[in-house]
Amino acid sequence: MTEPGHAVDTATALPADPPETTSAGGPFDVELRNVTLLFPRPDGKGTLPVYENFDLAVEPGSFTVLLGPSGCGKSTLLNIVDGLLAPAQADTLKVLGRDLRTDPDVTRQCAYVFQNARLLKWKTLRGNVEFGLRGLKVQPKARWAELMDRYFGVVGLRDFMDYYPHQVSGGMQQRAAIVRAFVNEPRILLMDEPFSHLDEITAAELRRELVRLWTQDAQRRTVMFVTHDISEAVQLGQRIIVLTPRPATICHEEIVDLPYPRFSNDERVFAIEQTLRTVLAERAGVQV
Amino acid sequence: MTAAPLPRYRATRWRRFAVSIVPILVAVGIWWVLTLLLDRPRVYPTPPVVAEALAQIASGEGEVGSTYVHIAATLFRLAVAFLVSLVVGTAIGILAGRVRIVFSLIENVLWVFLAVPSIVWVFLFAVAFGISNVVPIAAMTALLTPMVIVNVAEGAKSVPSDLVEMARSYKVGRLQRTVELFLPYLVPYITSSARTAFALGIKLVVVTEVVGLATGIGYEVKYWYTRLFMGPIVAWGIVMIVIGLVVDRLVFGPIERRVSRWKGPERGVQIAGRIE
Repeated sequence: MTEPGHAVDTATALPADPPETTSAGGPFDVELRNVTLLFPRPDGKGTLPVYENFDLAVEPGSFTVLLGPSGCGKSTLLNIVDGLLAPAQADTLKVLGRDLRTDPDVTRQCAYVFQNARLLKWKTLRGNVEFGLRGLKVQPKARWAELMDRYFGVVGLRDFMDYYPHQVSGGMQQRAAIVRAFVNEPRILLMDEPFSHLDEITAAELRRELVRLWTQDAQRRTVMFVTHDISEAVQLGQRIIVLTPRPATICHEEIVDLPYPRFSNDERVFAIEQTLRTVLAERAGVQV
Repeated sequence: MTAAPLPRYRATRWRRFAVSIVPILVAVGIWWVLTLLLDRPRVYPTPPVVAEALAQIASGEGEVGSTYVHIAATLFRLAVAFLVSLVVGTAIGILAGRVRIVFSLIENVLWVFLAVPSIVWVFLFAVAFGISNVVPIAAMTALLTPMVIVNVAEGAKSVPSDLVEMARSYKVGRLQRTVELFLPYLVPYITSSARTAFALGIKLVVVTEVVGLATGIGYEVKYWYTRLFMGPIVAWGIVMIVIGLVVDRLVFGPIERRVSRWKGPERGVQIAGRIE
């Protein structure tokens, strides 16, 4: 790829020639084919299609950003991958090569960071992280102390493990939520606008930390990151998938082949942001 | 110089106490004047008559056996009914608050239980179980449990759905979810219904003891009523007030303060550890 903002302008998100086998689970970490998801209408009459015949495949170790207007069902997609929502119909519904419908336990390999920290206020930050460890049961208890020490350290919270959420700032709460996910060393990280509630300075700092956390592993985790913020998408993503409003379809895909950290005053970054702005305006009907 | 803040705080606290005691003094004054005017201390006891009865109760010697045995019997019944109601009510309440079909199933039954007067339960259970300790305990449990269920179910319904979703996402099992998410969230609801259940229980226990039993404060009250001595009855009422007040202040107050320590200071005052 010579051009930095090489656009794969295609209706399907599937690479034309999927790589043979890159991990034990198969060619893709997440594979959705022909997925239809319906939400009941608020008045109870009939249903509202959120996804109709939707396809998506995510390669192992990739950082995929889902970009789209709010309410188009980006978070819903993460909820499907995490097994929290079951689609009405799907030809393929695989995570790490295993079918979610017959093997729901595979979602223990996914860890979720939500839009808000969602910490239990009666537990310390450490207690909150342990809550997730005890739930997912992926890491043996013997490793907990070491893992928590490491990841609390990476986000600079080692001295605050025994504080209650109300005693620390919103940014620190969100950091703890990130630790709660990372400490499980999940194969797949699901992130739903995790920085949108934070002030810009904290958000920028956390984005850098996220990239650092993600790139430091020899075998990178697969990240699916939802946002409606174009510059955030370009700063983080290797692959940016643009979704249309309901029923959501993939209207554009952008491969960002730039080194980290990326800055918005870099003209290559700016060019991609412009492309995405145009796409969102023309294809998704959103003025940005 | 002006006064230091600490003594001033104390002064307001004393003033508040003094103000709160005024209505009690006024009430005792009116009572005293009225009973003096009526001039039949046996039926309309004056404060000194009641004070004498209180002293009699405190001495432990009573016409129908040790007053302390009667107090102990009553408190035992109250404690058992209270604990059973709290445990059973919390368990059913959580279930009813989280599982809609359970709530629909028990909703009407709850209202029936809440509406039936205590004395009806006493007679029903007296026929069923005979004259025994079971009667007042069962009657009170039947009355207090629905109240706890309603309160706890209300709380369980209000558990924020984003926390429940977070727990689902982290594949948190039912036991862990109950112990680490629902119960701590419900602690304020449970303590407040415990407080109300106790306050209600201490009023009801005497009523449930009036029928058939030969021990308890209810028995004492009935005894003095049949002899038309009102002084001791008023004195026993005061004993119940004091017991209720002491338990509320010494048990429930500290518990309520303790369990909400993670809530943080009120009115925006932050602990020194808060850092941006």
